[in-house]
Amino acid sequence: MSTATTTTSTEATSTPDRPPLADRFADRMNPILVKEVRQAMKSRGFVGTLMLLIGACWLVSLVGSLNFGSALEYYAFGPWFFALYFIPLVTAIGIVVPFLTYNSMLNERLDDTFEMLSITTLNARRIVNGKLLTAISLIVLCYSAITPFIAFTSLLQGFRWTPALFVMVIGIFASTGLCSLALVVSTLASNRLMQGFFSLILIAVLVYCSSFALSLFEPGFWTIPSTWSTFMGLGSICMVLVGVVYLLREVTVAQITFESDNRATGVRVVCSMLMVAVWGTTWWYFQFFTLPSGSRTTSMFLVNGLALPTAFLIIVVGYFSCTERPAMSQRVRRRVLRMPGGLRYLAFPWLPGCSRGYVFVLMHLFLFAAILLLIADPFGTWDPLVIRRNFALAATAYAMLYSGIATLISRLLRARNPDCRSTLVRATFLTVVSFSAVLPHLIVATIEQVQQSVIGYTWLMFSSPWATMLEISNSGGLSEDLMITLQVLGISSLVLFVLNCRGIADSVIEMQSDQGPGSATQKGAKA
Amino acid sequence: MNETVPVELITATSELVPLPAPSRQVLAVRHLSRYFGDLHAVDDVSFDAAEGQVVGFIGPNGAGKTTTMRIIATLDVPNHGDAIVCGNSVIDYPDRVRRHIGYMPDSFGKYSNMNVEDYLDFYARAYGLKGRDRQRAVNHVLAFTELRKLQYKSIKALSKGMSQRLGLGRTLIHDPQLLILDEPAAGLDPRARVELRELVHLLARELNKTVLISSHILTELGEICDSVVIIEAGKVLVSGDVDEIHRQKRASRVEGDLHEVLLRTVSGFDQAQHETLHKWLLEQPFVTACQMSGDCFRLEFTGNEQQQAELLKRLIEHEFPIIEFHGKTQTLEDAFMSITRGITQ
Repeated sequence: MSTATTTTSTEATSTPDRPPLADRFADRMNPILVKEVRQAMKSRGFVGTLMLLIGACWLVSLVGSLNFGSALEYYAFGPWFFALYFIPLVTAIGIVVPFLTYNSMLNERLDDTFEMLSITTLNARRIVNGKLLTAISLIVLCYSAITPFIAFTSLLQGFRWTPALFVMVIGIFASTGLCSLALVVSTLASNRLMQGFFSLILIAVLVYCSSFALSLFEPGFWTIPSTWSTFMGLGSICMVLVGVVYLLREVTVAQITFESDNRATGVRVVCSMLMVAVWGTTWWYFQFFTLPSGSRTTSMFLVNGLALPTAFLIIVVGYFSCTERPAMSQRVRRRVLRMPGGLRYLAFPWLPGCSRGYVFVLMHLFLFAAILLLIADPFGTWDPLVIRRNFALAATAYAMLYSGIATLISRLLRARNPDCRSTLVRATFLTVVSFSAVLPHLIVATIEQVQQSVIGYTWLMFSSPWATMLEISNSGGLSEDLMITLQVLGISSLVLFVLNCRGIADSVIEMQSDQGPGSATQKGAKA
Repeated sequence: MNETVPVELITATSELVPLPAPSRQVLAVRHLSRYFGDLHAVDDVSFDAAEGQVVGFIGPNGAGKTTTMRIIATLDVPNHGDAIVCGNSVIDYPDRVRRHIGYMPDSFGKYSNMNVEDYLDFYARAYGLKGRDRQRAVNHVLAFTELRKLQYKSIKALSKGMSQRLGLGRTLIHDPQLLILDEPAAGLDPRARVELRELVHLLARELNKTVLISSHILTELGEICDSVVIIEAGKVLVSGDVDEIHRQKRASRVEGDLHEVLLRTVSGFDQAQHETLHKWLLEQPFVTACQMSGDCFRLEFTGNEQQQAELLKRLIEHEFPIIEFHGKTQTLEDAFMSITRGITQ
């Protein structure tokens, strides 16, 4: 225990002048990656899976070879063997690796190792990157384990590289996407009961997705042509999966970042980037491919390629953004105050806070509408019967309405209790939305029961997006009730915007001095 | 106070060697407050810690010790106030603060499928140490914490004492200037406690680290701490040097406060003389009781220091052969018990 002991021990274990190449390489790696790969190589779970994977492939090869003998040379057994090798691979990369990733992050929180990690120089993003890189390394290990078997299959009749590459490349990206999803799920549960529940849900999702992967081997699969559009399709799918991985990674980072830090900006920036990517890609496709003007194909392309991803992003990110705490934490506020004035206000929609989240949603909604006009009009696709403009109008109004309601609920609940948890705000919002969506149906059903007649859609059902959207889809044109619904939705959205103006103004004031509304709330709490 | 230790110094000096810099303030806690709803877990707490100082952070359960420590360790943010570590605010520059602190909570998790050396190596990497610096840091920590012989042992299989050593090793791996140890002796056997105490002593005296340590075992803290901060219900009741607190307690003693005074006569003083002294003592002002045990007398005294000195003067004037006369030494535990009121939140 003395200094002398320390010195002697140090001398006895003196290190060489130049570390080995592998060590120098590992120095440049993410520390989490190094640690997790070391742990995985010692864990019975992963090593067992790898052994089972190789064992299963050997078994398939031996049984197949012995059973078919010389017939292997003459008949198209390539696809058959490939599918049999692919089943254990999908099990490993689609179920085992994502679940190990989920467990790894969950255990960091359960074993109280996460806090110790977060006060090192590793930030939340590097921790999540480390976990994802580990997952990718394990996926690559699994692929390398079956490579000899795929090489063997390529020698058989009926095997074609294009479909095989197609499915294997998508496999890597899809598995990474599932690992990202597993990371998000691992951060959601706060107690043992919920962890058990989420584990079951995750397993079900992983099994479903893996079984979906096997459906790729339908009869037409091996006839995929080696054309430019096939690779464009493959590239598009990979791009979408990369976007999903990116978004899920940011959500995980936000989830594990301390509440006192900035959780919002990363997710919102990635969301904006993804929307711009979606809009840009759609625009580029319109330039590249000459789609028939005003046709159903074109409009469906617009809806699927542009509207659905945008709607998904706005709904998911808007739901979380508009239910955040209104005020920034002391740490974030001080950081924002150090930003130059112009930049500070430009970054306004991407900074934390429910009112800023509301502005973020509105800004993207209006941008989306503008882009849609820009893309759709020159191609003459604004045919109400095809593109269903009313559908888009109603969807935008509903998005405005619900983001406004969420922001208002968040502000009202936090005004009563500054320590109100986001979970409670989100639960209250969902309850309000569910109630408002179900109530009109109950009223109409009761009236129908009493009057013994079918009423159908009335404007009183304006609070039910399901009923309104279904009516727009079915009728195509605008009935009188639909017109009233759209007007009511527009007025409600405007009213909510006015009600939330105070919150937006507070959010602006908060960015001007250290004594913003947040500090006022905290003083109130002390009093 | 605004002086910031250069990052280069932190990353390059991975060796556990004393810093040559003169004593300076490492930690300054200023009006720190943390509320959880209506609960004021920490309420306007302020104190300082200088280089090479061991500061005991003591208080009953729920006093706000861990919350304060977590704020200093950048794991939480105060509602008001700030803590400055080596010139960096925990609110504004948590990343810089993290380079200067080593935090050891009362219990910490362990990874499975990992041995002692891998564990330290991982944290060295996590703190950005590379190549030879990292290997040297791991070797030094293994030597310092005497975990060398267990370096290939699974960390899950370590005893409580060895786990605490490993935890201390982890906090030292990046050579931080400030160590925050939250109940490090909890659950340790007496030998492990003594060893941990020696390690803390060594860190402060020889490696010039500043140590903020909380513990319920006040007798141990009293032996290793230079100063203490006594906290109750989120508020600091007393802070300062241990000796100074004892001196203040003695000086603030007023007539009516009961305390013990011990005196001893020369050996060979016969029974009759003992009886005489005993009777004489009981007749003296402020002496409420007197117990005789061989050559020793234990008085219950209600006077202040001046009146105690007058008693000694009278003893000498009466030519009693007194060779020892002192008030009972106040322990940290005594100070704690007299300062705190047992308030829980």
